[in-house]
Amino acid sequence: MIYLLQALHPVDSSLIGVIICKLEPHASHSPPTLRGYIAMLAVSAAYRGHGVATALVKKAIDAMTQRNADEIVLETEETNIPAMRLYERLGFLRSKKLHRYYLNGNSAYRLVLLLKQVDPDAAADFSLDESDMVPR
Amino acid sequence: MAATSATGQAAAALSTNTAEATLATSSPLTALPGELKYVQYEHPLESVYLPAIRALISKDLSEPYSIYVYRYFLYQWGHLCYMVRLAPKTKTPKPLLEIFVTSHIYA
Repeated sequence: MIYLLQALHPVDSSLIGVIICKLEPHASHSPPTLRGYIAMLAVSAAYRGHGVATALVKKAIDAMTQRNADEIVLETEETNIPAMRLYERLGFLRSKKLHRYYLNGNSAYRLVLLLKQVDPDAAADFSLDESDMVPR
Repeated sequence: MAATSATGQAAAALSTNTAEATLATSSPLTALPGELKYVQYEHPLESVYLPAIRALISKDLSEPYSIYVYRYFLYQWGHLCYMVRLAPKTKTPKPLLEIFVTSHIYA
């Protein structure tokens, strides 16, 4: 049966990219927002430079937009210029620098993509608490 | 959710390291040797998809994620997981057995 599934869905031998996200209400702001989070993004080394990661991120943005997300956030290492470029090209903004965020001592940027019109009368506070990043 | 908050923290930190690592260096091929197929994750096919996903993501991690980290996301938000696979350009004829079995499954 496993063989059959693999024959029908030959993903295991030919998977070259994946994106994994979540989408949850975020209550630290008032009013609460529906916040998407890009948790993992990977493209096989041999197939980089073809826009695969960009296409995956766009698909995730579209799916979360359809589900009425207010914003999408993620963290990326500050030295990761290609990733920063990818996300900023898609409209993500730097919202916060996370000093020595990673285990290797590198700092990160929190990036945010705003999907809805920002209310100019509301307090513009995009600072985010650390608990966002932790599966609860 | 079985993952502890410590695991989750590590996951969050490492996951973006993945994005970093996978995007950091690129030596693009001139043309892809096949067609890209975008596939949405389906939970009933976890046994097929998850090992492949873990293998791909783990390549750029110094320490592999616990399977619970993947399941935390995929159980709740499988509809927000997309995969890409490369379908070879050369068409190989399907084995007769596979055609026979699949036609019976989907008949």
